[in-house]
Amino acid sequence: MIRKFLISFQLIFLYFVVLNVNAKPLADSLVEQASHLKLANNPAWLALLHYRKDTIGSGFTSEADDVRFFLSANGKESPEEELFANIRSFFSVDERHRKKQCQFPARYHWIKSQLNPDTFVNNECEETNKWLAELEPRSMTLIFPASYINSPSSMFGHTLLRVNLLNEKSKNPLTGYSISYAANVPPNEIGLLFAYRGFFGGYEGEFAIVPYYKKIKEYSELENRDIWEYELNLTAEESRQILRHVWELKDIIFEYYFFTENCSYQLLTLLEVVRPELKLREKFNYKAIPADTVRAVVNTGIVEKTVYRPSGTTILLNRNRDLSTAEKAIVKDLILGEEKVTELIKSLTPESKSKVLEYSYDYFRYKFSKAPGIRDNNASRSYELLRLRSSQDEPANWHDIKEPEIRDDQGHETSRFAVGVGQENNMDYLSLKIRPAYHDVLDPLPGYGFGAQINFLDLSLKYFSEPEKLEFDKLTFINISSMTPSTDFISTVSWAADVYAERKVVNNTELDVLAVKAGGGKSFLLSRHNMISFLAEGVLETEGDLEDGYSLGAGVMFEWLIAADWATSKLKLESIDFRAGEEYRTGLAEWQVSLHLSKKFDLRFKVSREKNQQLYDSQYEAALHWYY
Amino acid sequence: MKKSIIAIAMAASIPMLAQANPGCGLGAQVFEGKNDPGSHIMAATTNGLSGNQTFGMSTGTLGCDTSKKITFSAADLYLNENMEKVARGMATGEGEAINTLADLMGIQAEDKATFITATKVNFGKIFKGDSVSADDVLASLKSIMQKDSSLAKYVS
Repeated sequence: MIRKFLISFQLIFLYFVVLNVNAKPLADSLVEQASHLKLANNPAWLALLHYRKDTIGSGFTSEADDVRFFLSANGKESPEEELFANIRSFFSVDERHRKKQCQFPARYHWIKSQLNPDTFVNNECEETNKWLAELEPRSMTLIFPASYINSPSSMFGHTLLRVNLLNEKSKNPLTGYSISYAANVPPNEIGLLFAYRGFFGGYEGEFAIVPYYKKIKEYSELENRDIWEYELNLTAEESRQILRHVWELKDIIFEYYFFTENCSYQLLTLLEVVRPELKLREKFNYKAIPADTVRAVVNTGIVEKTVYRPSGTTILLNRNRDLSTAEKAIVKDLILGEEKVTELIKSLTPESKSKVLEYSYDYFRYKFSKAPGIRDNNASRSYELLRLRSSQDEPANWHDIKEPEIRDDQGHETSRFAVGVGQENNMDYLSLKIRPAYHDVLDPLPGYGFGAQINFLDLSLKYFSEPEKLEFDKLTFINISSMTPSTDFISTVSWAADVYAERKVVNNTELDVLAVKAGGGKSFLLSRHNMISFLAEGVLETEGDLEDGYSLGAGVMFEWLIAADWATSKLKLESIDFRAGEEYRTGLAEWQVSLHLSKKFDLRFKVSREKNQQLYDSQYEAALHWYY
Repeated sequence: MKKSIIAIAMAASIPMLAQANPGCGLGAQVFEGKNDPGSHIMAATTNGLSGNQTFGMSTGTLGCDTSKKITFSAADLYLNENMEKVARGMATGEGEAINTLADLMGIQAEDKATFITATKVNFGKIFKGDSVSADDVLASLKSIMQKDSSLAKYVS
């Protein structure tokens, strides 16, 4: 008893000696050691604190916009002071300082692994450890929801990481968790303000962890996007370190920028925390388009395997081909008719029964996801379909859905530069075009959606030789067009929207007008990758020299688009009648052909004839387009 | 605002709160609209900006009454959110949804086929109609499993 007491006493005594005599020097000696090893310049430390090299000067600045992220008052600009402040906290004698270990477990873990101190006190971090234990990882997967039908803006994409859990359930990806980064947008934010803040800043971004099935629901079922999953070769320990870092980011504010510091960029930082040598972030200074970031990750070679997850619509469209004409007729009756389900299917074979029941049910689900009301009007019909299906033993035997040969990250790169020669009104010119993003229908199709187009800041200049002058031709701020054909069961609207500045002749005066154009209509698929579209359009042009400063017109547009591996052709006919403000009429016939020389180069030809009031204007152009 | 969202999420894990009814329980009804069309459009036209994110985890505690909180398992919450898919999986006897439910309930590989067959055969008893709630489905499912010698051990 006394002996036991003495040992305890000795231990307590020792504890105080270690802490009070050695602890202060411990932090100091560790700071010295860190300074000697130049740990502050270690890429892993720079990634953990989200430092980027300054554009001007040799310093660093962190992308985190939150004082709570730093322990040093100069932390945002000084990797070294921040490192030392962290070491002094983590290895402090004072428990209140040591508690920072719980807030910054990834930093603590990394510093410990670099300095290997003999004596240190791990603080008790109950909340942190509980959270980490629930997410005990096996590996990580990069998730890229692809673009989807009839929404070209989704081509811009989104990326997230999936934590594959270590436990038995983890073989099922749906039991994993997704890590994503998004702007914190107040509900009911007005569209324009939303766009403005998204582009120029004003939103705070934050990380979120939610069950992966919720993301599947969001992307695959509500938005009908196919999903690409990229299994990364991160070890369990690396995955754990990423999670520790996510914990550090829990309530830290970053400014969110749609183009640069967006969801995809922040995920690159997470990967750099454990693989700083990949230098992923430095490739994205001016824009971080999700598809480009996926390409960059794939190029580093850390992707072990890719998995394709078709969306609800893709499945519906594919299975439509598995239905015979007779089965389609029955599906139509099941969906639209009033007759009893049992009556409609009674003459079918068991396999056919399963097929039509499942297809009709899936169709109702698709319909409902598009127009969610309080309650599905087809609820009782849907239930009846499933009830009958449950008594069928014969499976539907659908064909497997083929993975696209070209993934969404394997398409052409999104920046484009073009030089060309042409003739406008019998005057020769050289043309120069630059477009930072993203895809138009004449660009090589693989990896992108047919009929979908989105362009940002597409600038075109012309240099005329006689008389010698450089002329502004057109600047498209944003242009989106979505030509989507309706199919057997799915009816869609085609639409286009365009905001641009353009040099044009209006009633014999050459002007630079600022314009907005929007249209809607229908598309029809003639055969695979061969489609015609009809749109009704409205245009508003503004310029001081126009009558009352504007011109408002309405018109019609016809487009015929054919795409093949080696070439794409687009014929466009358009007639617009301006009736308010400055009045005039235009008509345009334009044919463009793009020869796909390689994934990097296109040779494009354009012939157009425009009628402006009674004047005709012809243009011919040949231009080489480079994707980079 | 932001801090409080996370504080609540950390303390109570609210990811499913929006789908819960005002009382205590899993409120989702089959074939009933759940998503807000506004947020759908917003997510569709941007690269995934959205405001209602959380740090929530697999088990949720729905704060229907602050004095007594009810904790739901991951399987319960999955069912609550995926009723139409689970129903389809049970009726067809295949697919990711029914397999995920089985995995989240901890059903071992050797009992999976039994589970899937049992839910198919008893589909009409588990989903009693076109307006059942997740609570009803869980109760019926558990009573079916209790009657099966190899599935009873998963419901306690």
